[in-house]
Amino acid sequence: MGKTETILKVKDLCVEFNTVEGKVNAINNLTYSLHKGEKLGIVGESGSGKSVSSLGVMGLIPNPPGKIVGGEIIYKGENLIDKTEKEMEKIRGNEISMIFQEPMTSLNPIIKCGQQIAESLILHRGMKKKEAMEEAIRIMQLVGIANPKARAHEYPHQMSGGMRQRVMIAIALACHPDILIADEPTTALDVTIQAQILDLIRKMNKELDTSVIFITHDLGVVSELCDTVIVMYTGRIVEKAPAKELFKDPKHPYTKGLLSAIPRITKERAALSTIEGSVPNPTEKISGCSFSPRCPYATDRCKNEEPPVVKLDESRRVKCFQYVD
Amino acid sequence: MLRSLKKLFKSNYLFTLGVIICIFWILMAILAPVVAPYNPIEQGISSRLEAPSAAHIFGTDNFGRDIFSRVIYGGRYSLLAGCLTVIIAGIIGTFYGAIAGYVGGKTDNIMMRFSEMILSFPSLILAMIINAVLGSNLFNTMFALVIVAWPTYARLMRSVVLSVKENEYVSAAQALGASKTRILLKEIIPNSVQSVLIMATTDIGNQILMFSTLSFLGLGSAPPTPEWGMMVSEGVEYFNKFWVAGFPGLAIFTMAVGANFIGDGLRDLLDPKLRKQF
Repeated sequence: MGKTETILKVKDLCVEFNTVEGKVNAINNLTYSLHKGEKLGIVGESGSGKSVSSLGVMGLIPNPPGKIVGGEIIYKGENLIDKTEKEMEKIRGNEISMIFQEPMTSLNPIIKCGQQIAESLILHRGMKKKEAMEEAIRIMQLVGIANPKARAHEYPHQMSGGMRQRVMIAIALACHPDILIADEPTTALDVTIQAQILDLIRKMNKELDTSVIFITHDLGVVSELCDTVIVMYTGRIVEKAPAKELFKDPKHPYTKGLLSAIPRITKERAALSTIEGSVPNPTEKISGCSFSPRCPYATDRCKNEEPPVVKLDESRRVKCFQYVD
Repeated sequence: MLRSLKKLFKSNYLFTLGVIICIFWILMAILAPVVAPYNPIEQGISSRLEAPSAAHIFGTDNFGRDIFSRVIYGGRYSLLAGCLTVIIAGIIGTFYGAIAGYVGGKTDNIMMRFSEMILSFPSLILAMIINAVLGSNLFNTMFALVIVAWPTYARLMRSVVLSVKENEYVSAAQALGASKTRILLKEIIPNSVQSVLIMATTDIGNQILMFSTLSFLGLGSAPPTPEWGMMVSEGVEYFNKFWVAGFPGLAIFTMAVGANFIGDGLRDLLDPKLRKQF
């Protein structure tokens, strides 16, 4: 992966939310880069900042209460944080696209599906209505919607969840974006449809050479789809590794905990292990490593000092004292 | 949609009745020159205050004018005033409320306080004042009615928009690069306008009543015009001749009731939560 060009570089991104209970640091010094054609998985529990990080890239963090307080997002040599709303509108949907978790609610209920795909083409590509409609039908075919001509004239409520997610993907990919951000696109779907959607994303990634940022809490999905995985905890990256290596040999105690909590078909049936405790309340300040209260290997040092990011090899990073020198 | 409308006709008799009444009055208003047996402003001194008969089925008024013809022509003004007021007030209110609700924050606060300022006056009195200041004619009366009516639409629209804008398809549209204006016009307004439509249908009846009330009070249309409210007001002097005020009054009543029935029926159709069993 290291050979291809980097298209997105997020550096020291910090996002803050102002809440009634005080400032919450949703994202702390997030740094990663995405290569052309790469499928990057971002995994984490609820509240670990995985969705916020992707909204940050899109410039869609609700403000107020949220705010990017530091760092840069470099896309094609330009910092997206400095862009105006108007400039961002040109990028969204055209160069960086996003699909959402809930296919049932993320389509406008009163516009026909084909037209919703065409809208994006008219908006970004300046196509004529008829031309856009033909292209929309072609894309629907591409994302595996049977009988796209008829389907294009149906309303979202006439379609099943899987179909709607396909339409969402069609909308997102209509303009051949460089980056597709998929925020838990399969969570609301049942397993067979999930597999189909994953196949579709994989196929699109290959055919259109679109880089994918795949946000999920489902480790199974990540292992199946992604090249590289980022594990997030309380708004920080705790581990970054190629998918295969991460699953074979997790380094960070949190990742180890997550992986041991997955039931395996090959193992004897036993009680599933869990990670003790729960994700800390984001308003409470934890000194040292934010995972230390739950970490079985925690030492005094972990409780007082923030661990550095340790570079294990060219592609692996882990944020833990265990691997210092 | 069509199928459910058909079902509505079958199950909701009041809606059907409302539709029949409204179509009747609309046809009457359009076909007035064909249907009306006499010229509505032609006077006949010899035939003053005649009781209903074969020649004048609704009788004649104090100038000997045929009340039946006047009622038919009068529908033109009442319907026009009622519908136009609702349409204009509805459009203003829809956009005003949608902008306030979608933009939110300070803009919302200022816009809504302004609309509440208008709402704080009793609507009839405010309409009368505006009418009295501008001088009374059909256009000014409608203008006054619009001024009084739009804030209600704006408030309704805003409250719906506040919930609609939280829908995921709005953020999805944003993520796909739609501008704020585009989201407002393509996503927010079309998905919120339904309740305004329901209110508008019910409101047509109210606006006809308001218009007639203003005419009754001597504001609104000028004398020879056959306007229902004004005809009632002229007829009140002759309370022992029931037909002079009675028939135009009946016309106002049926029209208002018909419009309300349609509004209720549409609400039942579009908002199943409020649906009653018939």
